[in-house]
Amino acid sequence: MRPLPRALVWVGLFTGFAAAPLAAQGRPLSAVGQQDLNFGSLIPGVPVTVSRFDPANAGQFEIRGQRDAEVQIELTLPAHLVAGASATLPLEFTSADGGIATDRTVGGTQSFDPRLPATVVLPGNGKAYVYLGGTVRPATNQAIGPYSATITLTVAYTGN
Amino acid sequence: MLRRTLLRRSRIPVLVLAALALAPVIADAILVSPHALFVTHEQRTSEIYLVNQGDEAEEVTVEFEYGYPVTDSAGQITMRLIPDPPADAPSAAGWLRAFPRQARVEPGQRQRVRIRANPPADLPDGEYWSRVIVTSRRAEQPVQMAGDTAVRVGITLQLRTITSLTYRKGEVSTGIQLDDFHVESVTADSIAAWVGLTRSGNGAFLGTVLLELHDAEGNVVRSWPTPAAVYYTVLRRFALDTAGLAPGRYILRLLVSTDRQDIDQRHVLPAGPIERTVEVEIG
Repeated sequence: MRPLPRALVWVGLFTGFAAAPLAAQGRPLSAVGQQDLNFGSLIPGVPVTVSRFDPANAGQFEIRGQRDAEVQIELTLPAHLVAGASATLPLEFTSADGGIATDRTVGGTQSFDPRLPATVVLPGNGKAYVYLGGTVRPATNQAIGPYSATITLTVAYTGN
Repeated sequence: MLRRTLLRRSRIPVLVLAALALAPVIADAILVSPHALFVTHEQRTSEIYLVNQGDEAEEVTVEFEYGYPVTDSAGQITMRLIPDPPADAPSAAGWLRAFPRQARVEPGQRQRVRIRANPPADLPDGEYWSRVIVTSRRAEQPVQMAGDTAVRVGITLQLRTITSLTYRKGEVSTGIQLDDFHVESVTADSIAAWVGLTRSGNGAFLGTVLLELHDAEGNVVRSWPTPAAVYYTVLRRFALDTAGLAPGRYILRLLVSTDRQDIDQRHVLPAGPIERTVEVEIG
């Protein structure tokens, strides 16, 4: 299958090119990751906190969907990053680390606890923005190695 | 010699676990369409489309799980997923299959997924529900090299999109009953209102809860339409932003109807509307 330019995909969705079911109903829901949650350089023993208001380092997602639709947002957040069989790097999120905006206000105009589900009503352009901060706590003897973890963002219309 | 040097270097209180970036979030999601799927017992098949809007290949899985939106004690709505529903639950999740169930979708591609229902032979008439859960993750995991410390860090981002699937057999009907409508509080810039709804019949109510604020002349000065689904009972709290409105008396109007802009009306079961008003004073 030949890749289609993104713009053409969108045109197709709303003109019936892609498939009749796509045009028969409202705008589909999707989420887009826009920026890493980036903790930069770490010094062992020194925790680093990234604020959700940090435009350069906060995690940023864009939610796209039907105007006036209500969307549930749920983040599944790991407690730590893992390296190898046993090395871990603690990762923490607090009730102030989540933010939602409908106007690209960095950090969000509405805070939410990223450990709990939240809802947002999509504005006229059908877009909302989710911001995520957090804290990593490297130990003084933090082992060197490749650390990894998974963050899951779940989105769902609440009106179906 | 080299090994010893490396060991010695790794024992140094490393100045930096360099470039430790939680790098999950640069993946684009898979768009799932349609967001509400309706399957009849006569057809037993349907399809969804997965569109990769991003710049990287995505690994996608399609699963089914019973669930529906519910409200909590604070009046907030959440999606309740029930992996092991009780035997009498109207769940279709156990007898739905997706083909393919897993796929790799290249950037710009769309993947058609056929959904087939294999219900029990003695399935009674009625409506059966499932959620379609599409999970996507970047096919190649992000890995970052961390300067001379050789720390590599990568976080996989998974994005899950949950859509609805409604399976109908035979006669299906719905209705809606208003259990509660009251204003909890009014401040200078917001109104908190509660709306309680219970559906009747054997099908979910799909419609819109419209709250409107009318001024003394009857003009609509604010409007808050919310697409709503009532599978059993909901009791919702609406926080309505009234900032900027002049102090005075207003009428808050509630209209619950089957009007939906985002779902083909052929799939929306008919139900009579409900309308109520309550007077509020702002400021």
